[in-house]
This record gives sequence, structure tokens and C-alpha cells, in this order.
Amino acid sequence: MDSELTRRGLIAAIVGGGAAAGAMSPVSGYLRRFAPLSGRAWADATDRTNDTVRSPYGPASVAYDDEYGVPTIEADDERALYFATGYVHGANRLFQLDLQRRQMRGQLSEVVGEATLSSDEFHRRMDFARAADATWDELADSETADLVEAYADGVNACIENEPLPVEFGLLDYEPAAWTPQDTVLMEKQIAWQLTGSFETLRNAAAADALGTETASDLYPYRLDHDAPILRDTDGGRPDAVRENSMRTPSGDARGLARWLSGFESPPGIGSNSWVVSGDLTESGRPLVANDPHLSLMAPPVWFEQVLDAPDYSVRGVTFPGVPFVVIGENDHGAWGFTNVGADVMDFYSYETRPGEYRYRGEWEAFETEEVTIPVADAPDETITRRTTRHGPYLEREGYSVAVAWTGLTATRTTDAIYDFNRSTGLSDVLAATELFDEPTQNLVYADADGNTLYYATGQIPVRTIDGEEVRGDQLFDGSAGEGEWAGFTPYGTTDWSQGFVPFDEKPGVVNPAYVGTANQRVTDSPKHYLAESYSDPYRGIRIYERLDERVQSDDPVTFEFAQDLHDDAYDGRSALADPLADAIEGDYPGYASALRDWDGEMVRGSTAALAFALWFDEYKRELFDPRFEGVGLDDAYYPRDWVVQHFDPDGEWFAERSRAAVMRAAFDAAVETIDAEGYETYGDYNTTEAITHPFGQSFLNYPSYPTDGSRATVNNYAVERPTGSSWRMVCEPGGRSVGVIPGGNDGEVWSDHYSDQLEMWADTEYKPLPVTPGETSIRFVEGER
Amino acid sequence: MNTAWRANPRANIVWFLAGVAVAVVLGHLSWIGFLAGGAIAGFGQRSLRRGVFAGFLVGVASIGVFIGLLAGHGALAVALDTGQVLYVALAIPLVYATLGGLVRGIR
Repeated sequence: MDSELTRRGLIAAIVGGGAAAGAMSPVSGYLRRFAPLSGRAWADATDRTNDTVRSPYGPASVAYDDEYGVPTIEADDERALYFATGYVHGANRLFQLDLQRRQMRGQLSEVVGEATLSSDEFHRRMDFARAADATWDELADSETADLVEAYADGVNACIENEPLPVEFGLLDYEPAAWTPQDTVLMEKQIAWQLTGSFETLRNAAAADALGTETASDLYPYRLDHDAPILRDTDGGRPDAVRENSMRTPSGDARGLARWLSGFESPPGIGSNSWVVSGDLTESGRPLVANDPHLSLMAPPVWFEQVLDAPDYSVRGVTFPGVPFVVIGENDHGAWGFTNVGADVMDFYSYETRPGEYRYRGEWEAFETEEVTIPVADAPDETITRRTTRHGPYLEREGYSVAVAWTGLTATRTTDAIYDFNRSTGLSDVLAATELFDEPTQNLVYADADGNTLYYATGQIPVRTIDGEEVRGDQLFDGSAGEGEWAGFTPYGTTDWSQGFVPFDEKPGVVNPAYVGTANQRVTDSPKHYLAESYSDPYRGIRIYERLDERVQSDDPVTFEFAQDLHDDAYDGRSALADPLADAIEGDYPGYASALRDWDGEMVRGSTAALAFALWFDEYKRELFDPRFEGVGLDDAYYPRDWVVQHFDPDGEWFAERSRAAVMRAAFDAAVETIDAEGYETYGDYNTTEAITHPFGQSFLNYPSYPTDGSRATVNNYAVERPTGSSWRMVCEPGGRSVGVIPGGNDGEVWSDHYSDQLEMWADTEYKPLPVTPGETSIRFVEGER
Repeated sequence: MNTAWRANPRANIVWFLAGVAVAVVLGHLSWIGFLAGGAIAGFGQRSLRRGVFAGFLVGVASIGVFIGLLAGHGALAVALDTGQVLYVALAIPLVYATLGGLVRGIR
């Protein structure tokens, strides 16, 4: 009897203990997330989006096209339209929305842990969230604000009604409500990605480490080429701005610059666009082509949508979190953007004493705040955030500067984008462009009336010292009040009419025959200082070569020509292929022969392209690492490819080893990689496998397809980062249009549309813009949520 | 307590099916559903060994329902790619329903 009781007790203890362990121990987290049927990780896998949803703003409908999952959203009331748009963004990209918001607010560590603490510290010190609040305060009473609020309500209705995406289950948290300020924060995020550059600081640090002459050679103010965006203009540049100064030492900003380099615009961020007048096209209609080069990831940075409003219809892509179409077309015209690369950020150093900094002879207190950063599975981190009258004060390894960035104040870009969506022609677009405070972009536009337009958007600061306009590529003495932007109020309202380039003095041209932009120098003679430096000009040169050749031929520009130009994989760096072949002839006759026969095309079937691409990166390492490592510089300081390509073979960098010797050593390393990885052609290396989800979980990553292009080609794909064409679009206002994104429109991994455009993108193929909507998927009916 | 009814094979099956039903229904709310389903299925069996086996089968049936749901929503292929996430998921009903089957040994 006793043994029977003991046995029963033992069994009861096992069952009870198992249940208790599941309920209370760390195991409970796994059970909550992964248990079949109830686990959060599976919630979205076995659920379909509701087909009827109550909306406080009235009826609307969403019809996804069957082939690519692009939504067509329709309503008779604009607020109802944007409520539905918010719901759709929530249903298709909710985790992306929350991840971006957390990054910009410095809240990643709360769910990810200590790995993102440095990022959170940076974003909290910059306080982008406060800048978004200031922008929202300015916007709050406008018509646009009503639509942004309706959009936020739509996202929140989705959070309430629909199961959460798998990522929330894996991380075991739930998203907070979406706010209108979060939407504004997305504007700040993309502006930061495109214009947030610590180049001034880095170049100054390089001058400390390498000396001013070497630094000035490696990081020239001007790359020597003849293909600026605007080739026939002379804005009469003032002498003070034209002056080409040397790189100036900073007092050793290396530590600060090293920390900050992880949070600025990644290398490779750029874009292509061109606009061609109907006078030169086969159809007689103008053409607009655009492919912005941004970070490539799963899901893509862009979301494609079609919005049918009561008095306008617009289609194209937006950033999830932003209600309006950012790049696309409406029934009147089409528009696209590339990055200007303008210098919209300055740095100020001060004489300081505890708690105060000197400004124009007086001591001013730092605005100081203790900020706590919650960290998952670790103690919270507290930092002291300091701000000066110029902006946030950043400190590292004993070096400190205040940062002024145009995005840290109230901006009107949300209004501008909305105005683009409902524009009816050139004058509307010009008016909207004037409101486009950030980021600085090369706008190309064409309309069904035959107009074409190029214009530089964004506020560009005018810096002065003693009343004289100066370049912004230097560290300013903040205590002396040097280089300030008149009217600029960080985290407040800025008077743009004061210390910024007036709208009509920005580069721009109405009704050009054709213009090609690829982040190269805007013009040889701007009226004001625009940028510290510009991107490598390979793409800009190639686009103009192709456009010039076509225009000067007997063949008109066609829609197919524009598509073919997107597919152009010629790499201008291949000018080094012959000297490389000479250098390796003895050791690698096969590769030398392939390089001599190579046409410079970075295409998947080419062995020469494979060898050249891997060699070029090794060549930079071989050239710079020995000297850089000794002075504390890393690969962030590698100069541009154009500079490296044009090094004098008898110059400073080949004083100890000949160019041929350096080339050969680099090629040894490249061949080692080729052999180790088993690569045979460029397509073995240059694949979409590099495009991954932020989690690094293989099932969330994209499939692997071979593709063409490099970081220096018009068909742009930098597999090593990865960045590249994040949306390809060709539009013929009044005619046909096409587009494609690198991945799929739906961010839900369970969806058929998670990666269904990736192979098309890899092959530079397109789908129609807009798509044909299928049956109504979601019907919004009047009612409280 | 009269336990003669456990010798009736029909009763064994009814208890097993009830266990499966409870596991699938409550399993949509919590993993505890698998434990409860396994316990019910096990309780109605002739012996402890059969009770534990019935609990295990409840786990297998729950997995079958789960896989069927994934397949019905076109999500099975991705689920198979999740690797460890899926392995953990499949282990949960097996472990807890089998554990529930042990209840047969208490009474």
C-alpha cells in the first residue's frame, strides 16, 4: 500500500513538476512562443487577414493583385483611404515598422539585448525622436496631419485585429501603438540614411593620422571627370566657396569617428535616374527612370501600393510607415529621386568647463538630461545626454563636438510628398519641391503635358565666418560662433529664409532635353557650396555616354532603351584590367588572358568579372592596410574607387612596392578566395544570397539567384554590403510604366509574395505599374474599432 | 473508485478521442491543452503503459492537426525551413501530452 502511494505520489510529482516547469521556468518563454497552435511564432502562419474591418473613417476597399500581392486601396474619403493604407502596412510590414521605429528611438536593446546598446546610445544622443516631435508639432494642424492620424489609427487597428508576424513571436514582445510621430520619424530615418555623414570628422581624423597632404590626395574635394548632372550651367560660384582648402587636422577625432561610422549613411547609398524629353523619344512622351540604391534586406525597404483617392490616383513605392507614395506616378506625371550628397551636417567644437561651454564670450550651460536605456536580459543603461545651441553633443575617447543636421529641426517633407501625390502638373510639383526640406535629393519629373524637370530638393545650409560664405567641410569653432546656420533651431522651428540656399538658387532646370543623375557632382559651378564630396562618377559617366550616344544617333529613345540602361553592367574600373593582366601574366596566364579579352561587363557568366571584383577589394586592402593599421585607421577610411583607380603608378603609394607588385599580391589573395569558395564565374559570387533578414535566421532570408552588376555599374548591386537598386522604375507619363523591387511586397515570411519578385529583379525584368487588382480582399465598413 | 469501465475498449477509444479534442481545442489557447488532452486520454486507459502511449498519440494527433493547418494555409514549406523552431514546436505536444498520460498512474 505504501509503495503504491509512493508510486502515485511520484507520478503526481512528475506531472505537476512538468506543468510547473512549463509555467514558471525559462522554458515557459519557449512554450509561449513555439507551441503548435497557440505559439506566437506560428500565429500568423495559420491565419488570414480579416476580410471585413470596421473603420471610424468610413468605407474603403483593398484588392491585392494575384500575382505580386500589390494592394490597390480605394475610398471616397481620404481619411478612410489612409486608414486602410495604415491597416495594409500593418498587415504586410508590421515588424519592419516597429524595428525601424525602435532603431530611431534607441529602443532596440529593450528587445534585442546588449548587442544594440551602442546603436541605442547614438540614436538617443542624437534624439531623432525629439526632432520628429518638433516636426509633428508644426504639421499637427494641417490637412496632411489628419491623414497621418488616420493612417496611424489604421496601423493600430491592424495590431488589434490581426495576429502578429513571426518576428514578434521569436523575440517574444508586442508592439506599442503606432503614432503619427512615428510616421514623421520614418522621414527622419530615410533623411538620415541619405544625408547623415560624418565625412568631415573622418577626413579631419585622417589628416591627423596621415598628414594634410596625403589626406587631401586620398579624399579630394573634387573628382576629375566631365559628367556632372548639369553640364551646361554656370552659377557664378563665389571665390570664398570656390577655394580648395587642404584637409585640416582635428586634434584626433579617430575614436569618435570610429564609433560614429557605424551609424551613418552606409557606403554605396546612391541612385540612378534620368529624364528624357518627349522630343527625343519614339512615343513622343517623356520618360522617367529611377532606381534608388539603398540597403538591400528582407523584406525590402520599399512597399509598393496603388492609392485611388477621390480626386487623384497614385501608384509607386513608399517606406513602410509613410502613408504616401514617395517615388512613382499619378495620372499627370511621374517622379523619382537620387541622392545629391549635399553637406547638411556641421560640427562645432568648444572651449568647455564642467557643465558649460563657451559661446561668443559667455558661458552657457549644456542642456543636460539623464536618459535610461532598457536592455533585455541585462541591467538598464543610463547615459547623460548633452545638447548645445548648435545640436547634440557627441563625445568619445576624449574628443567631443556638437552636431548640426538639417533633419534635427521641424521639416515639411511630409507635406511635400503628399503634394507630389496629388499634383496635376509642373507648377504643383515645383511648389511641392519648395517644401521638401529634407533630404537633399535630385528630383527628376516628367508629365503627360510633355514637361520635364530636374531640381535639387532639401535645405542646404549657408555657413559664414565673419560674414563671408565658407565651405562646410571643416570643423567650426563653436565658441567663436563660426559657421552657424542663421535661423536654425535644433528640435524647434527653423526660419528657412535665413541661413539656407534660397529655392531659386538651388541647381535646377525646367524642361531639359535630358538629364542623368547618379550622385555625381551636380554642377561644375554651383552658386553656393553644396557638398564635401560626391560619389564615384562611374555610373554618371556611363549614363551620359549611353544617353548621348542614343540622342546623337538616328534612333529615338525608347521605353526598352531605358530598361536596357537599367541593365547596363559596364564597370569603369575595368580600365585597370590591362595593367592587372600585365602584372599577373607570369603566375596566372589564364586569368590574364580572360582579363585582356574582357569587355568590362560585370555579368554573371564572366570569369574575368569574378576575378576583377574580388581583386579590386584585395587591391585596396593591400594598398592601405599596412599603413592604416599603424595609425589607427580602418577600412572606413579607404578612399573612393575612382581615387584608387587613378593613383599615379609612380606616386607615393607605390614608392616601396611597384604597382605591379601590389596588384599581384592582391590577386594572390583574390585567387585564394576563388579557390576556397569554389567560384567559377561572377554569378557564383554575385548572388542574392547576401540579401538577408535582420535576424539572421535562414528561413527568413531570401533565396539565392545569380545576378549582374557591381557597386560601380548602372545595374547596381554591391554584394559585399549589400546595397543596390532597391526599386527599378520606368515611367512614360500618359503611357505605360513598369517597376520591380528586390524581394517581395509582403514582409510576412509565410506569404507567397515574400520573395516573388526577387528573381525578376536579379534578371532586371519588370512587372506592370500599376498591377491589375484582383478581387477585394479587405472591405472596410463604417464603425468604431 | 470503480475502474472496471477501463477494460471496455470502446471506453478507451472515447477517452482517447476526448483527449485529442481537448488537446486541439485548448491547444489553441495554451500548451497546457496538450497536457490536459494527454491526461484525459491516459486516464481512460487500462494501464499506466497504455495511458502513457495514449498521451503520446494525442501529441502525434495534435502535431497532425498543426501540420494540416500549416499546409492548408500554404505555410508548410516555410515551416519546414525554420529548422530548430519547428523541432522545438513538434517536441512540445509530444512531451506534454505524454506527460499528461502519466496521470493514469495516479488513479
